[in-house]
Amino acid sequence: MTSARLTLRLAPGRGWNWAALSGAIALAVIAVALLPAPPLLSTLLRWLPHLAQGFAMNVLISVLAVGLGTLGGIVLGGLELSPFAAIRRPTHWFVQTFRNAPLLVMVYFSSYIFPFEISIQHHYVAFPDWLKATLGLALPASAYVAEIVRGAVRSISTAQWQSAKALGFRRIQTLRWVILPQCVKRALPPWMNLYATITMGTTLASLVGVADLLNAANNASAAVHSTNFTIVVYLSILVWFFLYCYAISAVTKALERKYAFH
Amino acid sequence: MIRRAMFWLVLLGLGCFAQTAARADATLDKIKERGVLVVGVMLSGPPFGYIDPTTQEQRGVNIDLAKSLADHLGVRLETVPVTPPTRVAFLQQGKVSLLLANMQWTQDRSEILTFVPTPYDEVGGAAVVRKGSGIKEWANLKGKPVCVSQGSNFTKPLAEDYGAQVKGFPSQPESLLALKGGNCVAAVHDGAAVKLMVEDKKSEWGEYEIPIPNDLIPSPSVIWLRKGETDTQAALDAIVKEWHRTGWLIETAKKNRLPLSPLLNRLHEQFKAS
Repeated sequence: MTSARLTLRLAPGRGWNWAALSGAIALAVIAVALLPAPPLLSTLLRWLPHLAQGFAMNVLISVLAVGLGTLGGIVLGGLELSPFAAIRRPTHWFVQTFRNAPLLVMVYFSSYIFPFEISIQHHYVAFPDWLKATLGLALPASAYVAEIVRGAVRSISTAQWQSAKALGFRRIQTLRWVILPQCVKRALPPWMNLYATITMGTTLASLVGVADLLNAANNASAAVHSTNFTIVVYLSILVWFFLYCYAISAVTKALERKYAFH
Repeated sequence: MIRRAMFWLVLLGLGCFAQTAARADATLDKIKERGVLVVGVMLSGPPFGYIDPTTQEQRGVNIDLAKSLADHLGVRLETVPVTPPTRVAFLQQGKVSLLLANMQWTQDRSEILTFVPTPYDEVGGAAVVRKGSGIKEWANLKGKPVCVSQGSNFTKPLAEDYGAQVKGFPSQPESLLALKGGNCVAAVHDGAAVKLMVEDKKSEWGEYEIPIPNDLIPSPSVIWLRKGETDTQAALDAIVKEWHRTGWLIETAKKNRLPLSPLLNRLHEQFKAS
């Protein structure tokens, strides 16, 4: 867990500056690209509602995938710490399998193995592509969260387990009331990294036909039929994601401060 | 006892078979039963299919054809945007009932899918090149890098007949971007779309031209269905013939500024006479 501590120490100082610098660079590049052609800017503005709709889909997929992944990952992480090998081993292999699967493969996998609709006695319930992509991203997310949780729990000194035991806590009670609250602070930075990674990963959903931001950008560049616009619209994707993830990192820092009670 | 059970089971099986055989194929039944036609359309840009940024509505030839099919069948239309990598998978999964996705007839495709025999258009490839590149005919592309969209049916003739070094890009905008970036000597795409582009966007494409007069493998654009959907095929074929007979296809092409292919006029005359 030294790396997590290191990130924490760096975050308010150099990390912050780097983020601001790269944001400024992205904005500057766009400004330079747009300067010689003001019509491009107005075209981009005209496409803004369509792009925004696409981005809303990325946000929805990322929030759901990381939400499901976090719930699943906390359970898996707990199981990985089980004293019983019969529980620990299968969980370990589940986590290793999905942690080492490329996100794109998971997205393809989920979108082609699940049916596009489920029929229940002549009622057809659609199983939309975005939901399939969400599940495809939630599985590896749960495996990553499991490792984050396991790492965080392991980083707490074993003396605390022993003290809790001496005070009459059962193992599960120790985990819930003593260990996990201290883990929140340690797990937050890697969890935020995971959220950012999964958010970037949501653009993979466009490859299986989900109407996300990348898909909206493709629609826009196909309709406008101008190579300069294609460049601008792709640069704008960078800015959308940058601004979103930057905001998330600010929220994470606030949360870290809130939980920094030791 | 077991024999008797087997006998009834076989009879039951035959009964089911007879019942399904008497009905139309699964797709036509599904369309009629649900009152909705789900069409996979390609939004590769005007004139074929694109999104209007102000209304967010889909427009273009593909959309007009899909609307007309739904009207003729007396059902509601639902469109699903498809891309070259997803279109066949979506059709085979059953997510869409048919494809109006700029897919020309090829031998390979006809072996895995069923198609409506009467084509609705004919499209060939056109090469966009920088002015003064000295390219005058397809044979001039020998050994030169040429950009296409992935899964394009122009890949094979370019590589095998003309010996070009073909580079595939995810879609047309990327391929054209690569042409401008100097990654290839020519970009080969659906003739109708790129001709319209070079004509309309003088400020951006003024340095470029389409010098080769004849189209690369002009092939019929057809509606694609899942393998073996013969009833749907027959129902749709009647509609496409009607389009030709009434001249509706020519009108639609003109409305969308799609250059009229010789096939449209030929089939219009043919079906008007019969």
